[in-house]
Amino acid sequence: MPEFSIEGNGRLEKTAIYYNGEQLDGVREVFLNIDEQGTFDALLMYMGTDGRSYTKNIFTDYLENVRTEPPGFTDEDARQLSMLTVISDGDLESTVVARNNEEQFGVVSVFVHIKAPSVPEGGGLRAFFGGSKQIPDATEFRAEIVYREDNGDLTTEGVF
Amino acid sequence: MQQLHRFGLIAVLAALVFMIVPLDAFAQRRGGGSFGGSRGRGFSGQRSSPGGSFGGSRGSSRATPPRSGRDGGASRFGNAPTTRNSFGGSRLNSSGDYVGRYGAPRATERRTMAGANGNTNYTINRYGGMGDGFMMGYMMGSIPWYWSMPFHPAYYFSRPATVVNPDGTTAVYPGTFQWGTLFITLLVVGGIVYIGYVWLRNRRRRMAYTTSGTMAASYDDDQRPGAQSSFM
Repeated sequence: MPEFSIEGNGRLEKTAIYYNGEQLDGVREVFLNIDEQGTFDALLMYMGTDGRSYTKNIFTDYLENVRTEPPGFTDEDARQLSMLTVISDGDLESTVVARNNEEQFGVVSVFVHIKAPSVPEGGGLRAFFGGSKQIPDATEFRAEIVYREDNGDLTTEGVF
Repeated sequence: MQQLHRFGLIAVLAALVFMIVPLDAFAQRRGGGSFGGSRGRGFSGQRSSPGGSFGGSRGSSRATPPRSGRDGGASRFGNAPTTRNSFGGSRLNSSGDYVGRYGAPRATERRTMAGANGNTNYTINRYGGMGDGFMMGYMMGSIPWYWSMPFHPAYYFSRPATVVNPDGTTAVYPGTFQWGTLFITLLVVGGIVYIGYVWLRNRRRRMAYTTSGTMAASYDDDQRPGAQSSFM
């Protein structure tokens, strides 16, 4: 099953995405929204090796032309960071969520939305009137897990 | 938002076209280049050759020889000079055209003004208001350059209208407010302001991007092995 991990400290500058152990590069956006009700959204948007933008389902699609890079964090770095791992084949029943390599139980929902600000493209008259093809977006960084406690209460925890 | 931008662009381009095309071309009557010259070419100035007709258009041609007195609705009137002058404006078929539209004048006075071909008798019809004052300005022979500028009220008034009276005098009526000119001017000025606004807004966005963009650029660490961020 595909293994998807996010390692970081809550800041985009120190957030690495791993897919089956390989660190990805050129990632624009990660969106995970999985809950026990059956919601299963797992999207990855990235710039491929051909310069095109791709949006793929992390666990069911083949990550075409995805760019990878050598791991950037040392073991010492990793101790300062948190890691969220989701192992799944796109089916909720077989989905495992782990934090810092510890399997989590009682998970009600996982919500992760990490988005880098877009890079403006284009120029000339169009850029003058339209600003640019892409209006720079603000950085989005949300990662939360909702747990159900033994007493039935729901607890929301930030991942990073 | 894209449609708004497209509409704005079209509006600005249309405004620029209207700005470039002389509005006089749309006017029914124009003497042809009467305004904007130096005083030497003005109402009382000497001309080496007779040129355009005073009031222009409406079937009159420049080849028409000057006539004295009215000639059954002729294109020239009275003993007005046959050369171009600063006092352009509209020529009416009859005084009734103007009076029927704007009512009887508040005051009427006769005045004789010297021109290139002698004196011309004018019947000046006063209606009060700004157009009245501008009419007298036009009759002086030349107008200041800033009367042709959008920031001056005269810019929004038509030139005085004239009509040949049966007695041979030339009746002069004040110019009227031109809503079309105001609309076009607002369109042009609005377009310029809009362009400025868009430019400023984009500039601000780019600057805002630069602040975060510098950071974003550092995400893309292709040149450096072992980048600590997968994001670009």
